[in-house]
Amino acid sequence: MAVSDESLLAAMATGDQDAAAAFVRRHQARVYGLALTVVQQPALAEDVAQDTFVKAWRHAATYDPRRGSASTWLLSITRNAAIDAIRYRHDDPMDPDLLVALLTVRDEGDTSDDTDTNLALRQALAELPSEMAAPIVLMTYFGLTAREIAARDDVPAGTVKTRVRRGLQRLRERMGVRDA
Amino acid sequence: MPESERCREVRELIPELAMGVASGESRARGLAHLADCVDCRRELEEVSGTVDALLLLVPEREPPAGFDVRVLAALEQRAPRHRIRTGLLVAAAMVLVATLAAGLTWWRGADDREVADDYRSVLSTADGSYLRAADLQLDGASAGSVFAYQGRPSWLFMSVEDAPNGTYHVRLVGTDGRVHWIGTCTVRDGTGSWGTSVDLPIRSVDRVEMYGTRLPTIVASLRG
Ligand SMILES: [Zn+2]
Repeated sequence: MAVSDESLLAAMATGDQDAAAAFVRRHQARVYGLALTVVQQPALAEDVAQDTFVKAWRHAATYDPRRGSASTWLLSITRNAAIDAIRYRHDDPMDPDLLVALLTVRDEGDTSDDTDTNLALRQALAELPSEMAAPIVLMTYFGLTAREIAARDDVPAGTVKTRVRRGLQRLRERMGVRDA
Repeated sequence: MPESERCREVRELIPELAMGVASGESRARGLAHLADCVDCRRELEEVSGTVDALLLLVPEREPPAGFDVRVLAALEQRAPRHRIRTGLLVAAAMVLVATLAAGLTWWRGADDREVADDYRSVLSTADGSYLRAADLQLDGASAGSVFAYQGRPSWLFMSVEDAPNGTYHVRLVGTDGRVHWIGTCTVRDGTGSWGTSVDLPIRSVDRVEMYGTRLPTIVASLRG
């Protein structure tokens, strides 16, 4: 019954405002949730979320469903906008262990269906040692480079790279066996 | 360097490439290899998939009341961009990728960040077949990279990273041995970048050569 994201984006590419309204309402909680997690300030998070939808509107024609879902596309725009905002303000990222805890426990207020992939990934992330999980979230959510994480944690950059790579590999393997 | 060793080097970089946080220089190195290596491209796709999935774990939060109204008011002032034909999109994105390769740091601005995502689509759209990348060689050592894109127009971009300062004349040597002078590239503080569209089909370019007065010769082979 609901119009698909793909159709909404296709309509948005032609300048359809009603499609944009439906698209914004459908995705605003997800986009704002990510923006708030990264920037940690409601007013700034709202700016980032708005900026994200403006970009999605302007670039709707470049969305390619073969490359991933509309949510994924939208969240990567959100992430980049949020990282730009904290970089610009030189804000410190949230404590990575706290963020891991936040990500691995499913939020009570979240009424959307959690997919099997999400469940498997939450569990896999929870089981990852902190020395792997922390740099992964610092890179993924806050845009820190391996070198920056190395300086912050006082370990060699090569070690950070290896931990991130192995950690991501484990997450990927667990996502792959989500039905087990 | 043997291929497997280079793959190992690039695999280390892949998480940062997937998350768009690699520095300009390592990104240029990574891209040069990814353009040619199907296995590393697959790895980049898989890691990117994991990163995308991680972003979906963030708890949802309703924005303050009236958010949708404010967004829609902002949209009314900006018309969506028209659909760009794939070929042009690839060319445009590659020019931007080339800009990145020149060492622009990633936090310069939003446009740069968007490009970080774009090169993934470029590599998958072109599937590497229309894109060639090669090392610039100076006395057997790497002095940067050359990217060549086959399209309309075809173009070539070079990013020099470690070479003596001066103005180099750039020429293409065709597979038929004919020489085409295409312009000059200036190197300052050991680095320089330059690009141009080229009339020659990229497939028929054997190598790119750079010459200058009292300067060493720098060569990149595009064969293979
Ligand atoms: Zn490789």
